[in-house]
Amino acid sequence: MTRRFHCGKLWHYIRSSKGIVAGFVLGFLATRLLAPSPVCESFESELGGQPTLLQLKHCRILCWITTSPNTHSRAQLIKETWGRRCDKLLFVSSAQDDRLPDAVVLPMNDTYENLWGKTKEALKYLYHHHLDDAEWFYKADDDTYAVLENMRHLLSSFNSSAAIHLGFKYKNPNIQQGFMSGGSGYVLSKEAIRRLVETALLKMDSSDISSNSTGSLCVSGPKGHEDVNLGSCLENVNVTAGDSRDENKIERFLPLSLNDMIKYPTDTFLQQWAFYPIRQGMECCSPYAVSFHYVKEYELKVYEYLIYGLRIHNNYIET
Amino acid sequence: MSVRFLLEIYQRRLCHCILLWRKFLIGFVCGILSTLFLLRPTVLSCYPRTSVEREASSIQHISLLTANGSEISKKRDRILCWVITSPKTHSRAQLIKQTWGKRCDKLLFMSSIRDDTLPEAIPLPVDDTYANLWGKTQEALKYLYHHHLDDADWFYKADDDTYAVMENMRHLLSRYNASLPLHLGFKYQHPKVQQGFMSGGSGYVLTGVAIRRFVEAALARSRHLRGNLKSNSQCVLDHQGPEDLNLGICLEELNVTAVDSRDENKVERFLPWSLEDMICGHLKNPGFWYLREFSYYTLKQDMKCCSPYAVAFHYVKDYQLKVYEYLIYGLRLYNHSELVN
Repeated sequence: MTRRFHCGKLWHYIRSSKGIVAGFVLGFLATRLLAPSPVCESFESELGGQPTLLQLKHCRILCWITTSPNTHSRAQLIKETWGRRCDKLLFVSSAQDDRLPDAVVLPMNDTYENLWGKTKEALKYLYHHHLDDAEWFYKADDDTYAVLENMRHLLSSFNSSAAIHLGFKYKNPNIQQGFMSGGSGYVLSKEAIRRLVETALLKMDSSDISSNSTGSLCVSGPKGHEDVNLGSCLENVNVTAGDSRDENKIERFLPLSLNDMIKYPTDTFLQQWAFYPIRQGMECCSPYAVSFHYVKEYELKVYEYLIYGLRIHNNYIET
Repeated sequence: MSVRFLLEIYQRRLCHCILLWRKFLIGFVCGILSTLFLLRPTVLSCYPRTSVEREASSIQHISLLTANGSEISKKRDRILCWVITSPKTHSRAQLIKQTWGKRCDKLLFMSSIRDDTLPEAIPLPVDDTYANLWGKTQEALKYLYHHHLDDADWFYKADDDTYAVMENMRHLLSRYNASLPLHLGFKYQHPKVQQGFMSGGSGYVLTGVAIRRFVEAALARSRHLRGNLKSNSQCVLDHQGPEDLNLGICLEELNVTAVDSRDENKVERFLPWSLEDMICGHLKNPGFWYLREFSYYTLKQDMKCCSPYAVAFHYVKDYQLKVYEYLIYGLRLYNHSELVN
């Protein structure tokens, strides 16, 4: 009699918890199916850079590459290599063509002298169309190679809702907190762009052209050094220039070609104007470097192979 | 009455269902949350590189495991690297010493003079020109035969603009028996060499037996004896001529096997042209047809050209050697899942 009672109670428990178990299993399966498995983007894979369901929401990176019609081939190579690891990838150019049919075209004369103007237009464009697409906005030239995994690692130690910008920092007598080199690329947080555009750029557009000297937070007109002007502007709107170096105080954004960074450790320009002291030789560059400059054309594929393709056979590592 | 009875049954079943359904929902939500929590650290994991960096200067002990892990540590095969250099490029030799050269068991520099930039250079009795490269190679092989045959199991020849990945070379060589007459490298085909010859540019590996056979044949020839070469031998031992082709011809006659040095997926490990040309040559380099037409095995294009376990790169000049050293051994990819492990 008692045995049957126990069995009955046990059976009752099983039956009642069957629902919970079934729900748990289905929940697990549904999540696994909906979230793409974290497949390594090997150098052969064709995975795009679209955000996955499980992507930590505070870590999406939008990459915007400045290019021009005669170097659209480089833009294509970026698309095929590191660009696909960005959550969103935009190319800012002066015209679309077959190689880059979806380039963002800005109403600018595409010359080096107008780079500051182009940058302002690009930032306004991002503000109006893409501010919700990412937490971080990384600008690069089309001869840059970026290592997105290391960039995510760098950015994870900063507050993505703060107004901050990161990159290779230079000193400048007029900019107390320094400015970021344009060549090696820089990262702006969402809030940094918002402040810049709302507080400075849009006001400049709407204000009287003649009264642009006093009270203007950013250099007006299209000319001038893009990175210096941007740095000055960002300081004026209270965006912090962060320290992007690694735990050993080694630079992660590299403004010269790797060859020059390693070969000319005492490059006088760099020594004189770098915000933080530069190290010599192989110590110049962080093991978790984030971007390399002057990587032209097919060299982008060479970097892709050497960084993501080549492996060292573990069994023969000397201990 | 029967309707009421049925209704009651349905009501009871409905309550039962709702009860079960509630529990199901609780279980479902718990399942989702715990899966999200478990998967979170691996979202950002993307770590195809298994590179581990150790400073060469702290190497005291070498531990060797075979690929399948079933064998116990065996005697580690020694690799002697001999780099062909010349007075004008002794600075490159120095850079090799500071980068991949330190991973060889023994490192020798074959030049024509010894100077302050490279005081350890072995001066060979040759006219140091590109035309005489074959003569220089023969002299180098004779030098190795007389002085270093017992110092290593494998002998890797490289140019001073070659970058080698020694761990991957050990992995490749571990599958072969060093006491056999073997020749490894990037294989070209040629009507004069049925089994193909190894490109000089990306370097090649010879066993001690192969070197012995060649040098003894060359020494015999110099004494006007036939030695082991055929009567109608095609093996040319003048100083002039293409080094790699001539060596291939001689080695074939001496029954040294030209090994297929590709990886398990039939992808080349020794890369005779610059990486840029290997990957994108079909898009840019009009001379690329030579590589394609005369390579012994079919070459693949784009990123598939080159093995993940590549052993040697060519045309890596001067400070590019240090750039490769940094990109291959210095740079790491941050893997969030390392924290989980």
